[in-house]
Amino acid sequence: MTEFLHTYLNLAPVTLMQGVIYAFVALGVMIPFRILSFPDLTAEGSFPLGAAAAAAAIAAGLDPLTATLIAVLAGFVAGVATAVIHLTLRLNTLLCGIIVLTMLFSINIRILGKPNQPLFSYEMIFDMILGPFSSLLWWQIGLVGVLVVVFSGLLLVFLKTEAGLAMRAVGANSRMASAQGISIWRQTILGIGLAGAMCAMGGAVMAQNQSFADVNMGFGVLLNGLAALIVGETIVGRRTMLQQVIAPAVGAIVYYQVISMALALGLEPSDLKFLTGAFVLLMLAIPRFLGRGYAVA
Amino acid sequence: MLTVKDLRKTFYRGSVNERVALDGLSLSLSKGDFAAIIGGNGAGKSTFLNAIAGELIVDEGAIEIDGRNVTPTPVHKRSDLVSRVFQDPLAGTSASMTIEENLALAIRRGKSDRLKFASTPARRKLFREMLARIGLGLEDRLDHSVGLLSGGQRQSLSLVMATITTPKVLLLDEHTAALDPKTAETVMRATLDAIERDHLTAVMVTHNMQHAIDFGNRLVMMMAGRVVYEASGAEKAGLSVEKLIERFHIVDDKMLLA
Repeated sequence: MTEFLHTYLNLAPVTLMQGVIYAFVALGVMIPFRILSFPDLTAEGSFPLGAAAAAAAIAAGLDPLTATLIAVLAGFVAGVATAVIHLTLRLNTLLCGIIVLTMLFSINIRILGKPNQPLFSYEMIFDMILGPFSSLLWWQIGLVGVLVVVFSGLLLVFLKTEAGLAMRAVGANSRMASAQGISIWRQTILGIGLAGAMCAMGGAVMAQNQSFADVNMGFGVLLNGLAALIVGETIVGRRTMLQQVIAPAVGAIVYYQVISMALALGLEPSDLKFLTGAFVLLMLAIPRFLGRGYAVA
Repeated sequence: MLTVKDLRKTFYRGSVNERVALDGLSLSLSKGDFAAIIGGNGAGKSTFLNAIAGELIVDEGAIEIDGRNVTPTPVHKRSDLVSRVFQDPLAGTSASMTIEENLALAIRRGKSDRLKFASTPARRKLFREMLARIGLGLEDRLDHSVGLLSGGQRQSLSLVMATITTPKVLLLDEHTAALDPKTAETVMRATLDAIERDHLTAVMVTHNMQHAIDFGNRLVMMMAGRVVYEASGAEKAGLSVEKLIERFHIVDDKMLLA
C-alpha cells in the first residue's frame, strides 16, 4: 500500500500535466459528440497534426506562440475537411473522420519531414511565458490550466450567444434548425473546425511539453478524450451548458489520475488502451442495463 | 403574397416507383388570405407545403413569396418569408433546449447569427407575454427543457415560434392532427388568434373538412397534384361537408373522420 501511494504520488504531477493537456482533446471531442450530434474521429489526426505543425514551425525558427497558432489553424482546416466531406458526399460522419485521419498521417510526416522531431534545443511556449519558472512542472500545469479555463470560458460564452444557439440547434434538431433559417453547412463546418482546432491545440501543447512531436502520438486519443468526457459528465452532469462545458476538463483531469493509479498498481502503459476501451464500454453499458438512454454517439 | 405557378414534382423519376406528386399546381393568395387545403392521401398536399417551405425543390414551375422568386431557394434562406408548424409536435421544437432557447432561435429567424447573448431581460419579457396569450402557463416555465412538455404544449410553442417574426406566409401542416381533441381546439384557437392579430397569410393543410369549411376565407381541394376545386367568399360560406362529399364523390374515410 505504501509502495502504491509512493508511486502514485510520484506519478500524480506528471499525469496531472497530461490531464490538463488532454482537456483540450476532451473539449474537441465534446463539441462534435454533444453539441452537433456528429460522432467524429478526426481528433486522432488533428491532435498529431497540431503537434507536427507546431514542432515544424518551431524547428523552422518561428516563435512558439505563432507556431501554436499555426497548429490551431491547421487543426481547424482538418475539421473543416471532415465536415465538408460529410456534407457534400453524405457519408457517415465516422467514415469521413477515418478518411481524414488516415490522410493526415501522410500529411503529418510531410509537415515534419520525418516521423518525429525532437525539440530539446528550442524555445517553447512555456519558456516564453513562464520565463525562469518554465522548467517547474507545477508552473507548467498552472499555465496550461489557465489556458484550458480561458478556452472553456470562451466556448461557454459562445454557446450562449445567438450564433452558439444556432450551432446547438443543428445538433439538437436539424430540420427545425433549417426552418429557423440556420445553415446546417455553416454551423457544421464551424463546429467541427472548432473541434479540430481544440484537438490541435492539445497536440501543440503536448509536443512543446514533452519536447518532441511524433506522428504516432494521435493513436488512441479519441477514446481517451471520450472517456474523459464521460467521466466528467458523470461527475458534474450535462444538464446545463455550464456543466457540459466544464465536464471535459474535469473529466480529463480525473481520468488521468485514474490512469496514474492503474500504473501505480503495476499495470503496463501498453495495457491502458484496453482498459480505456473497456471503461468506455462499461460506461455506455450501465445506463442501457438500467433502462436509461445515455447515447454517446 | 404567395403565387405558385404550374408546379411540377415527380418522385423517383424513371423508376418503377415513379410518382407524380405535383402536376401543374397553381394558386395565388393575397395578403391576409387564409387557405385551407383538403384532399385525399397522395393528393400532393404535403408536397405542396414542402415546396413552399423549400424542403423540396420543384422540377418545374415558379414560387413567389412577397414578390420574391424563391423557387430554387433552400429552406434556411427563405425562412425570413415563410415559417411552419409541422404535424409532428417533436419536429418544430428542440427537446434538449429550454423554452426560452427555442424562442430565441425563432426570433432571430432570417437574421445573420450574431455574437450577442441570446438571453436578455427584454426578450424574456416579450416571450412571457407571447406565451401568456395561449394560456397554457408556459410563460412561467421559460427555463424548462422543451422535452418535458406535452405534445399540445410543444405544438403551441411551435406556433408561437412560427409567428414570432410575423412571416409573410404561415404554413400549417395538419398541425392539430396528432393532438387529442381538447388540445387540438386550444392550438387551433391560438392559431386563429395569431392569424387574425397579425393579418397573416396562411396555408393550412387539413384532413378535417369541417375545419376547412369553418376556418379561413379560401378552401382549396387538391387531387392528384392539382387544384380541382376552389371556393371563397359567399360560395365558401355556403359549403357543408355533405355538399363537398356529394360533389366530389369522396370515398376517403380519413377525410370524413378526422
